[in-house]
Amino acid sequence: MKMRTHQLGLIASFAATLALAGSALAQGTVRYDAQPGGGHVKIDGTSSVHDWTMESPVIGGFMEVDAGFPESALKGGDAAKPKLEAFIPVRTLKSYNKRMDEVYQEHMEEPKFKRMEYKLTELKPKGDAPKNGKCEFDAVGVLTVHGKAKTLTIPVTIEKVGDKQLKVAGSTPLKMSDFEVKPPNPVIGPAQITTGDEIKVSLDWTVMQK
Amino acid sequence: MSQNETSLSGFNRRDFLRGGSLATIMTLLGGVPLVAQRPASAAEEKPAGPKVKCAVIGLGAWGREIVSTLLRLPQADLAVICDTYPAYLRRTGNLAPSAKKTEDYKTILDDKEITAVIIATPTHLHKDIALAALSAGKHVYCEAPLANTVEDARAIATAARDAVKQVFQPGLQNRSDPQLHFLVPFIRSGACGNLALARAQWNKKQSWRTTSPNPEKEKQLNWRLDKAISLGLVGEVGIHQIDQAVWFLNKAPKSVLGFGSLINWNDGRDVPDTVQAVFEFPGGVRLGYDATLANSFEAEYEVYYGSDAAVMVRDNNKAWMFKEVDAPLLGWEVYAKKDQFYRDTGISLRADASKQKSILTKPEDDVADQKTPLSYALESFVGNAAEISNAVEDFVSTYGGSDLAAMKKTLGEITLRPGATWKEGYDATVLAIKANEAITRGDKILFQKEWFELA
Repeated sequence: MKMRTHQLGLIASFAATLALAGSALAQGTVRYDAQPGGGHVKIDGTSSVHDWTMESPVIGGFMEVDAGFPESALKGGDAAKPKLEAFIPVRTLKSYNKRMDEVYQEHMEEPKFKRMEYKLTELKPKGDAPKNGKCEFDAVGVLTVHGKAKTLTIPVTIEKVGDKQLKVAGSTPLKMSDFEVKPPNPVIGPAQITTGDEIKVSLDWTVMQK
Repeated sequence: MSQNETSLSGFNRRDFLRGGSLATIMTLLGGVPLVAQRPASAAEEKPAGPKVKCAVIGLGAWGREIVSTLLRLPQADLAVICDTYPAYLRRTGNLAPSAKKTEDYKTILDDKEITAVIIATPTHLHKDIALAALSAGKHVYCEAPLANTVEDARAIATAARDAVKQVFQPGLQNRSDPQLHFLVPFIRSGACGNLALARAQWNKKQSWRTTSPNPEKEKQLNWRLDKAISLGLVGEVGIHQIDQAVWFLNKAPKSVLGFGSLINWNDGRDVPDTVQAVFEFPGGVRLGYDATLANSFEAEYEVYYGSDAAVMVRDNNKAWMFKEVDAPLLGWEVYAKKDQFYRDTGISLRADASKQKSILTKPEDDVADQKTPLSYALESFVGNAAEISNAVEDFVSTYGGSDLAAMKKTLGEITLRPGATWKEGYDATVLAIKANEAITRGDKILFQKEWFELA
């Protein structure tokens, strides 16, 4: 019994050391977390009959940046390599047509692949000063969809909103086939619908300090 | 050749033009709406994601109908059936041999695998089960009326309102039927002219009595015939038709005047076998409701009478319009399917009368939707239960589960399949309870605003 208490004490002090080390690492950096209602992603696509849209209000993840971000990142260096991880649960994307949502989920192989994930590698500054309060970058990062990862460069704007929030916005064309997602070709009514491979993803995401 | 006769050669000009809907017009203009056509049977649909494990509590005649319907829904997995009466449990077990049987509903609430519960017990027993099921985190489909007293109905509605993470759907199955959703804008838009009055009836020559093995069970099984706990014909049957009128007219009635008599079944019961009620709506429109267990003529239907046309709903929510001779020509009705009702010609009002449907439908299949309102209602309930469960899981895995207000807002933005809300179920229940009171007293009751409010 005594020995067990001793072991627990050791574990506790080890955990405390780790926590201290963590807070030391975090010094000088500010963490922003995703918040409910703070994100919106929209996917626009085409088909042989008409264009379609899917949307999700759920974007999770966080950013760890230096205190002067995003202006500091315009100068490059470490400030332009903040930690940014974001994800979208696959089934939160809705078209407002239940059958189309089912077709989409089948093709995305949900629940085998539950999330679309993004990890930022680097922000490449576009210009050296904010335009209308927004800093412009080419964001280089890895997007993983349907279990397939692809490095992308996406033009984004980042701005500070008040003292506690950052807003990221951007959009990019993508191909479903790049992520081995077969464009759905459902039979609807008398016609076989063909869905275009190319889609456009638009996103805005506001993260907040806790 | 009658007007609804169709050439056996198949698709013809009339078939093509019959679909006077927006979908047809869009098709003619070159645009096909990208909407999935409803399959003829639910079995054709392939559900996305795992099935929803369901339990049915209460296995009387309607409970068995629910069981049969659930067994045909691809997204539902009927895991447990429950009734305190072993004979009902055995009988329903034959329908659903793979479902577990229990006489104690609390075992269902303890089972984490069961996510959705359908309550079809006698009305006065709904409250305890519904409150316990909501408290256990289950999605709940509770038959209508929700309860036999305003207090019990209010308790259920309050719990349903506060159950942020769950679906609560009252058993007002017509609220899920696409055919009636098609009729709502038609009636409300003034296509009938000035709406003058409405009437609804439910006539069925039957005793409403269930056989039982002993006097004690007789009382339990025939709860509908006991005035102390039953809401009678207007509550147990009429609630659906009254709710339809409230929905179509988009107004709540101001008062109800009722009459009831025991004409044909003087077998010791004290619940009238023949009732009439008049609901008065703002603007002078009245709904006359008749129901009897003494006669079956014309069975069940609803009619909305306007200065330009009457709309009749009957036979599993099919509908026809009967135009006045001086009514303006709408255009599309020239090509619409027509049926003869004695001396009157009814113009068919169908939700699915599109060109796509006409092309795909053989003449012999030219009948209205074969799915029942109950089938649509349970499909909505099970589909919504899955969708809300998934959305809650996604929200919690993304943001954590502590911010209930934010979760409620996010869940509120999801477009759900059509189904009655707790508020619609509560309002309809209060109307039914008060109408039954008016019938019992042979009196007029003015509806009070506070009866429809929750704390």
